[in-house]
Amino acid sequence: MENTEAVLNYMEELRNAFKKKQNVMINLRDITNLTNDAIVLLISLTKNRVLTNGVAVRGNYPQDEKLRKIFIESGVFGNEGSPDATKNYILTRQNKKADGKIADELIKRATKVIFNQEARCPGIYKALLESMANTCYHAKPKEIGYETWWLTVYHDTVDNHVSFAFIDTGVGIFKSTKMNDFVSKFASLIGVNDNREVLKEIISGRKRSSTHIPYRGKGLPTIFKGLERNYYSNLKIISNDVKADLSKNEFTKLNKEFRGTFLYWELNINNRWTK
Amino acid sequence: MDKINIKISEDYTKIPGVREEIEGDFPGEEFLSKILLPKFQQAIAEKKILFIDFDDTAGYPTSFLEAAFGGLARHYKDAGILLKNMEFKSEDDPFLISDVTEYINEANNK
Repeated sequence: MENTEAVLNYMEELRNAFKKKQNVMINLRDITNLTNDAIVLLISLTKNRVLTNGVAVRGNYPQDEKLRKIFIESGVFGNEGSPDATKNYILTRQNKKADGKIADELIKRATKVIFNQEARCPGIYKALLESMANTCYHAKPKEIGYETWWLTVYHDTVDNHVSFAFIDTGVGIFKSTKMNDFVSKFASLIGVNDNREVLKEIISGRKRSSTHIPYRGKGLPTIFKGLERNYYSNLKIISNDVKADLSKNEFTKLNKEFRGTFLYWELNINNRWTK
Repeated sequence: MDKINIKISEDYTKIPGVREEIEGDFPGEEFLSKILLPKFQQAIAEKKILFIDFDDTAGYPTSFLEAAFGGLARHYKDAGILLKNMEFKSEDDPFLISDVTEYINEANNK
């Protein structure tokens, strides 16, 4: 979420190279600071076989010891080791549909490192399934189930929290088949054509009452509610031209558009869970 | 009053899905048509309470709950008949019962 536009520009460069089937060499050597969300975003993109277009991603690792360890364990350059509770990086999973088995599996792994036992987190399960389901509609119209989502789970051993980073590279929240109609009607009713305001409307749940547009989707409001209910912390969203840090109630308009949806949140020892 | 029980983790799944089958396995619409609606109809016919135990699953996506319980309220075009004839148990998630009640109450507002 820091230097978002620079990160998105870099991602775009990578995507363009993949498209042209150019060899890609990612030089991480001199990186000294990379936030968890940027790490998982990079991992999600480089491990996405659709995006990489068959191009083998090569690179070097940061000199910084902590970052080096993260990238080696992540398998970002195709040398992923077996999952191990002592490692930072836990797993990346992908699918096209809402898959409860995957969500359950990753929650069990996450809770084992945070709470020292496999546990359930109903709020995270809910957020994961809703994110996965939304992907079905973030693809091109009438192509439900076409787009793939990627979920990366990462354990920050220093702060002892687990990051969940969910990414789909579809059309994004504001251009999805579900939202197109709403966005245009919202703009004509309220006179605002700013996706930051649209997002605020969506997550506050005011959408239906202010516009009277029938809308059954409760996915995004639910994900925001999970933050308020302490199911997880540090919730962030990037989609199209909007970046939102919902924990801080900060909404930023991006000059560089992100093609898809990126959702990020963290589970820490103070969040709600059940045995 | 006598009760008919549904324990979702045993009678349907431990990993509930979302709304529609096209979106993934164990969707709310399927739970409604295969389990919830027939059991509710039975409860009404036999003048019993339908008792639903939500515990021991991984959790419940909102769209699953809305499709199932909102869907049942839409079937009857009435929230009151559901709330009068159903009881819920959720120890795993303290917010779940109020959420389900909300979906039932809002189901016919759309």
